[in-house]
Amino acid sequence: MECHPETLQKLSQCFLHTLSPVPEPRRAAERSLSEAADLPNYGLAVLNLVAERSVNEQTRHAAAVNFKNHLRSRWLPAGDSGISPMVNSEKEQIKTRIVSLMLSSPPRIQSQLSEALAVIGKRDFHRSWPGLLPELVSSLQKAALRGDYASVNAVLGAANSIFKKFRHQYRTNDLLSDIKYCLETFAPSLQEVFLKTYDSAASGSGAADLKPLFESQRLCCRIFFSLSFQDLPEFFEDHMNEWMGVFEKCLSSNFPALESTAEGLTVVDDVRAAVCENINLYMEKYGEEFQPFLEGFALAVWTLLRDVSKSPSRDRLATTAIKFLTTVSTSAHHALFAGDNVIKEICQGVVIPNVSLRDEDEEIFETNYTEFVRRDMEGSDVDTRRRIACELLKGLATNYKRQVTEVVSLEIQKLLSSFATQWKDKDCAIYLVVSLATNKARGASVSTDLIDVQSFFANVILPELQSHDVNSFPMLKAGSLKFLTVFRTHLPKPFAIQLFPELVRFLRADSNVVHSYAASCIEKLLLVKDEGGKSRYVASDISPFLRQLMTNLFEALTFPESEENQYLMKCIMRVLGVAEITGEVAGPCIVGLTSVLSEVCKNPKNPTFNHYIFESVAVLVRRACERDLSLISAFETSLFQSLELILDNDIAEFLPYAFQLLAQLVELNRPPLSPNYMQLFSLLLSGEYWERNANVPALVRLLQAFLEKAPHEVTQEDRLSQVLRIFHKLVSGHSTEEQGFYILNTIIEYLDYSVIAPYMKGIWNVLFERLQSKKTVKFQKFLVVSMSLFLVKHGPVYLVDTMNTVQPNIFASILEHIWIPNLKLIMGTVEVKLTAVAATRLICETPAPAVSKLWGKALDSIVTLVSRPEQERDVDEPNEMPENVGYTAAFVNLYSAGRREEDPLKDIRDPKQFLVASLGRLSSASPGRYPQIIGENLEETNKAALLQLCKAYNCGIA
Amino acid sequence: MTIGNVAGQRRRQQAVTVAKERRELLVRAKRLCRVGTNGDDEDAHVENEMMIDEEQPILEAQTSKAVEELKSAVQYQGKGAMQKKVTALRELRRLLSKSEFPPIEAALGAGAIPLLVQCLSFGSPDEQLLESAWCLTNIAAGKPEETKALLPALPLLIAHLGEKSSAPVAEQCAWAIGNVAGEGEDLRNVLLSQGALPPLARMIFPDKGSTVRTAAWALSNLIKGPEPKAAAQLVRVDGILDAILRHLKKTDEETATEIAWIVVYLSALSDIATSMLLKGDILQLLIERLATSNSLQLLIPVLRSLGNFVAVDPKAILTILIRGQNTEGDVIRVLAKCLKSEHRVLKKEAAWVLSNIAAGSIEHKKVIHSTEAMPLLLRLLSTSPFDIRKEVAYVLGNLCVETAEGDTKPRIIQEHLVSIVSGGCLPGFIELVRSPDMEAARMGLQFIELVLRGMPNGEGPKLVEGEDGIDAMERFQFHENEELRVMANTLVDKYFGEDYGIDE
Repeated sequence: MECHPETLQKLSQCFLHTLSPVPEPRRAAERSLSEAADLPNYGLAVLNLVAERSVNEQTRHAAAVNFKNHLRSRWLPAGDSGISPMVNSEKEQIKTRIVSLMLSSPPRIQSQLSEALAVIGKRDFHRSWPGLLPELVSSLQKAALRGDYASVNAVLGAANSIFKKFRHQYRTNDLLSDIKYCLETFAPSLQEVFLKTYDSAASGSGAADLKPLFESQRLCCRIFFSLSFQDLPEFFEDHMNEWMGVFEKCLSSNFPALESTAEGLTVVDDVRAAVCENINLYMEKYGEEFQPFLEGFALAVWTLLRDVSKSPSRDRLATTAIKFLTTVSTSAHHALFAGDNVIKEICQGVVIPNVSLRDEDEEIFETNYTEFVRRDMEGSDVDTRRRIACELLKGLATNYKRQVTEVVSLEIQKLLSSFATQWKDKDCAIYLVVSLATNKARGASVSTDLIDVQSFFANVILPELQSHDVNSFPMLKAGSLKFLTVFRTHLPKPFAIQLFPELVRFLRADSNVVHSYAASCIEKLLLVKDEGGKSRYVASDISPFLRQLMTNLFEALTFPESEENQYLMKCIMRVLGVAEITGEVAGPCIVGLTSVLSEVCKNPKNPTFNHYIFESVAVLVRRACERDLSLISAFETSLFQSLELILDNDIAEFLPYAFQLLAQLVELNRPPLSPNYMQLFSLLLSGEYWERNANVPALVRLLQAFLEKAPHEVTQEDRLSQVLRIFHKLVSGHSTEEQGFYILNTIIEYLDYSVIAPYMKGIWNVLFERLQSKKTVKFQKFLVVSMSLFLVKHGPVYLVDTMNTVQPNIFASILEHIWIPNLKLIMGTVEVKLTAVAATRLICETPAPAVSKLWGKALDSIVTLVSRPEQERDVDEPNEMPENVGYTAAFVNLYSAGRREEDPLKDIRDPKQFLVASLGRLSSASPGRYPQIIGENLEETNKAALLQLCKAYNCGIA
Repeated sequence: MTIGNVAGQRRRQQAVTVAKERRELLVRAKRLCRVGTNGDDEDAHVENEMMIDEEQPILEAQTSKAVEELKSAVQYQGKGAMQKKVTALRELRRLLSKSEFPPIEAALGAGAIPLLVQCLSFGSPDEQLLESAWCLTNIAAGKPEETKALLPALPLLIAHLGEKSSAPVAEQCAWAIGNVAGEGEDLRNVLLSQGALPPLARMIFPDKGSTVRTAAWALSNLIKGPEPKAAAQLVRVDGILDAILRHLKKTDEETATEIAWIVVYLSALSDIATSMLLKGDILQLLIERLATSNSLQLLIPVLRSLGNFVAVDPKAILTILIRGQNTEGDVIRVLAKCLKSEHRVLKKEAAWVLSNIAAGSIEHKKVIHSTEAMPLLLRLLSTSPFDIRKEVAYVLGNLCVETAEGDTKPRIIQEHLVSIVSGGCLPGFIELVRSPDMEAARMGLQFIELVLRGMPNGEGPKLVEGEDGIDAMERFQFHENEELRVMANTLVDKYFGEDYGIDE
């Protein structure tokens, strides 16, 4: 693309149209821009337009945004993205122009170009762009001299984005030399600007002038953080006094000109929060060098927090500042907190105010219950004030447990005594107790040494749970339910059973959080295990109120905002997994579930909720049919409708689930299968569904079910060769090979030899070809399993013969190079048994391999396999990236519809015994021959192990 | 999932440093020469008091004047020219040695370098050579660009290192060169290409004397890398390794310190040197020094060398470990002494050496595990500053896993794991998981994995949960570092994850 005036004119038109509210010209403009983006020098042309002062600013801004995005996708596109990168000459021209252009642009454009610059800087750092940092430094110096803070901040902003990559990486020499280079080039000017700016800010007035100065301070702090992250830089250590001095002033001074407005206060607080992150880093990593400043900072932060804690906003500052105090409290310098009343003051001045409910919390409670639950119950509150304040208490308790316990119990009493007027205080007390008594909200274990949990439960929690009005003080109800959930393992069973009906009652509460917590509490209670791993609550414990429970759960799903409430659905799943599923329960449940299902089919939104519906259906079908197989037809009637809906409308997210449910139904059926199913089977072979990777495991599962349940039907009319085509395709792809083997194994296991005989040559051929092209350990192990299965199902003679039809004597070579070496790597109880027995039969029933050495090696491998634990036999395979990583729906396994692993050798109990018995029989036929072969070919440890086995089973090798 | 080897040996290849280099020591890289190398007591009283601000301009003026004097002395051809030059040089040298902040800028500004180079010319009397080299030494001790000003003088300084020069002159030249080498890799490369290394190396052959010490220091500056080529060149100098071993065995602590730094760099950068020194039984010598010395300056390079040797050849140390048990030369006891020291760097280095020993075979681990070092390590893990805790964690982690030959994955040594965990180490490791340091966090996670997988009766998860370990791991849920994120999430899912296991 040439930069003629006409081109610019045309581009300018396009960008103007992209801003149009009318869809037609807007889409046309977007289309032509995205086509033009493929042309070389497009980026440069757009940059020229950005630079063109005669064009109006709105258009130029749109161009700048487009330029930035263009660089993001095309500066260094990922190798497999198919996007061609920008050409080098274009990149070079952009590099020479961008810094000066950024600095001379109006603010809105400037910030876009600053981001664009960071995009390049991150990718071409610094060896591919040695001129960048020096240019930034000199621009920074000039801009600072002019007092042009828009430009200063543009440079600092770009540098900050680029330097962020120094955080969160492992130390390598390359990383450190990059940091060193940045320090040498950038740090002195950074410091100069930082110190100078502070002086101007401290003496300045006028909020509008001050704002950019503080923004600049913040950026300097963030850069300081990045550059200090890996190691304490020499330059900063040498100038620690200057930096720490200003840091402390930022924390302890007031800037009334800004702080008088909320917006201004945020600007100053952002600097303070950045300072707190810096001193926290230094405290954690460079304690010795930081120590001289510690006391001053501790005092400054503590003083600041007294104010900040009272304020409902200022979250970020509050959390970073409290984190710093927490770090100090657990460090070697915790003695700072040892003074009289310090802990008390911290508790009253910082902890309690921050744990107290704020309007914002109430608002989230009412308007965004999922967010509230996530924060409150699921630990994504790591950075909330409530949580961080409790962390501080716990930090203090590591060294001052007694004091903390005293102070906290006193505070809790105070909070509770004021309840008459303030329900919020009670909420605060509940939060404190829950946080302090647990190590983790959802954890099963609690440490109660800070708090007397039992009396708290009796006095505070129980009255709430027994309250008649489920809708009064919803936040207290939620807190109490959470309390119960957290301490569920400590609850004596009879007591819990008394509370169950209360929980069922709370499912009808209007508050989404409350009925979610009630559902969650029931769900978690049902998972509680006693010592020995037995479930504490069983079907009979919940049967008295089961009907009410299910009714309430389904009813709650109709409450506003709870139509797709995952906590309710999960609870349904759990109850169905525990309760006794009689016909009376199953009927309404399947109706309820299928109606919810057809509703979500219209617009699948919440994948977690959806997963639990399918899991609920699967568990319901499984457990109901286990009791009474005749229920199956009722299920089919209800489910087919929904499943057809999914298949007909091709709802991609649900297809894998649908196939798994169908597989489950097929397996539960008694042959012959109804025509409905057989119709489905032809659909299954059509290949269309197989294109999507997420479907494959579920389709394989379904195919296996058909092969197992209707071996005759599915092999009619050339259907088997269709199945084998699918097998061929799957086994040739690296990511699907194991699915291919699953199909093959089912064929080997469930079809008669006469049916499969004509196809065996082709099957082995496919496998051996694949083996030649890519010989991974994983593939070889699968092959060993399949060969073993064939051997035990159809006998060694057919195995050897069919394989040798591919190529004479190929069997011997496979045995030597694949079977024997990989046998000892087989994992899994069923697989180990199968392959051990198969190999034993191979060496004991077939004419022994002509080479006795091979016989010996085979035995050696078998002994390794049966005598050593898995972890000693395991090898690490190099991790290969999956071939297909896409954004399409992923396969999610349904636990309750899972395939039961069948043992193909039920009549053989112990593979070890089978081994020694077979060896005994074999050797008695030709005494003296085998001990010699064993002596020559087995490893010493294996000889000993074999001897041990012979002894254990009282069997000798003659 | 196995998370794999906990740490393994870590040899200190001369890594790039962002932090202050060896700030714990005397300033090593460049040294001002305040007292003459020839032991003249003429200027023996050094004015140690700090210059007062007002005096600096006076000093600078005097310096400019002294350079002018030197210029005219150099130009003067008449009677007593020699003496005149020496007098002028001595005055300049006196001014440059007077203060902690010598007036280098003034001297350079007045044009001192060409004059000093001229005074270094061959055939000049020793006194003149000595004084010029001294002036150059102190100029080279200045800021980077001031050191670089010596470039024109380097060929002559190197030339005077040879055997033909008197010992004081050679030593003074070595000092100047040491300062230049201390500046950085570029100047080191210039010195190497001009052939500075062989004559410098030969200067450490004699049995004793300040010359050996100065030359050894300069040499250590010259070979410190990170490029290994200078170290490789040094190994090829005939007799050098014998000289090193001899000095380590016999010489005074100060000289031994400089020699030990040479060993640090050789053991980090040259495999040949490492194996030859090991054959010369260097480990025994290093351990004797550790056992008998209390000099921090000496102990640090000795520990570093020791750690490097152990990383390269864990077998060699095993013999000594076992032979020395319960004797004066008990390696672990000697290291424990360093761990108990008040000095942070010493503790850290000693812990690092131990971590390398602990990464060895099962025998190594058993020896450490059976010693008095264990309670000490456990205590350090909970009470020391961050960097020591991190090193100690490596030791403890290494003690709990074993990678035997032929194994594809490390196995847990349950006996060690149980005793270390019951010694109360878990909170310390979990604390590391919370630290902002990526390596420390990884180490902590790896140890948690061992506990989860390896504690008997499945009590691992309870222990980890009891120490707030889940919370520590959950902080990585959205962490920028992918490896740590995956590791932590996998562990949480595997050991504390959603329970689908509904009893049948």
